[in-house]
Amino acid sequence: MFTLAGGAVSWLSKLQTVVALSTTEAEYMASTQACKEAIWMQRLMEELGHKQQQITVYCDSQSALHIARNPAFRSRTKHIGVQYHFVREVVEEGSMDMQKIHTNDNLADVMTKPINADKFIWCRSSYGLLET
Amino acid sequence: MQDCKPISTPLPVNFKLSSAMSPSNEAERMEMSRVPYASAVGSLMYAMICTRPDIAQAVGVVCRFMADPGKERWNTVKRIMRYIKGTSGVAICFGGS
Repeated sequence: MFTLAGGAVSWLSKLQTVVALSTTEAEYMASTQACKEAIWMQRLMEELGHKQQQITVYCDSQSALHIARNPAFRSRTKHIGVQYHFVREVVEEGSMDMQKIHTNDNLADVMTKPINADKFIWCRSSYGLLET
Repeated sequence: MQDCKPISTPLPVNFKLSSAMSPSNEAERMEMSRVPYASAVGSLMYAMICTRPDIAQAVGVVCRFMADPGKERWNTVKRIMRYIKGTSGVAICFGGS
């Protein structure tokens, strides 16, 4: 979910096409997808004359964050495909920053699970979906 | 659907559609064949892609059962429609309120 000027401009909610062996791995793959989209959007914005210094990608999985930030080799993550380690590269480069986001502040929860009405309405208004 | 009661969320909390809800016999399958499941989901998808990210998850869930829709799944589609009815005035606004 990417927002611009208070409105959602890009969103995606889908069943992952690959099999992940752990939730960490699933989150890690999703963050790679998000990075790709973010890089494209950053370039587009630059072309339109609005340069952004660093993009922050928020991730709700602490363990996926650790894998992305710390380029160490671990036995539990040795099977993850090279293409999913793209996020590591951009984080190391400094063009992208990954931050933890708490469930209570996570806008993207609406896209992944059914949630209660209060949070649903809060998320909806944060996307810029307003009553007109 | 035009006189239905609006609802505040597209799916209830902890909602799951399972493969156990597939039609179990020919009679049920015949009944579901008269229901425009695919075109209803297609219409919802159109709204989702264009301006309504809030129903993205719900549409994703009902999409998984295109091949063999059951009665309960059809009711779920109708629930999303009820949600849409209650929030038909909602649109993406840029630049704050």
